[in-house]
Amino acid sequence: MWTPLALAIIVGSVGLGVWCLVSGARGRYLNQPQYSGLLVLAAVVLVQSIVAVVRLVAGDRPSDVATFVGYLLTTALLMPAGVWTARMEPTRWGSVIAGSASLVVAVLTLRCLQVWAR
Amino acid sequence: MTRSAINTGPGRVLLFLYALFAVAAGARAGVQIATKFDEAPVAYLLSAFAAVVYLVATIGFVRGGHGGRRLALVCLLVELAGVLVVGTLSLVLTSAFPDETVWSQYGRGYGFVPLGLPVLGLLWLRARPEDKPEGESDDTSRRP
Repeated sequence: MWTPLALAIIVGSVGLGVWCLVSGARGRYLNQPQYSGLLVLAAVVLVQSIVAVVRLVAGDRPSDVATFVGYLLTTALLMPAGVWTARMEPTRWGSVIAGSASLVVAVLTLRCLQVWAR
Repeated sequence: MTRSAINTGPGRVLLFLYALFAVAAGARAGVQIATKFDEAPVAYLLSAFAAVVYLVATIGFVRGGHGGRRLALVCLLVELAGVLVVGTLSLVLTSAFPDETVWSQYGRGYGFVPLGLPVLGLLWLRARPEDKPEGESDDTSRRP
């Protein structure tokens, strides 16, 4: 993990997640800026995962590697899956899916940071 | 797509969350079983079982129809029973659960989502009853 990037992901994904959920609550599907934001978030999460894997391989690892790898796998898959599912549902519920995915990324990234620090 | 389809609208949100939990529980259980199975075999096997239930429920939601609906229903009930029984046991018999499972303490480690999901799922199946045979109308399936 690279802490500054992880913190940026947490802040960004909470903001984006809430924004998408508000759209969902107002009965709207994602707009273009939200959609672009989701793609950027997915890309940044991927970069973070690569950083984490490189550091793991280099021997810089948390005490509980098993839990960390479990979280990391889920985090890496989450955004692409969320965007893909949201695209299949071009209604308010698509916004809810994207928003939930975004918020879960925040939680998982936080958990990854905690496990990494231990 | 019929109007009683369970895999669109809110149903798509549910199936996304189920897929997420299948992966989350599966990844965690898989890694734990592979690296430190001896530490807490019961907990890890339970997590793996939970992952399978989530996966099969996801398949049920995706497939929809009579079969998918039944599959999802069985999984939701197993899941609800699992989270209640394991949640209670993990509080009463702490020594039997040296490591967390998805269902420990009613899913507290996962923001209690494991407790909420089956309830939401059952409500959703009820809100979208199966298509009635010819001629009957059923307005409860027309929810926003």
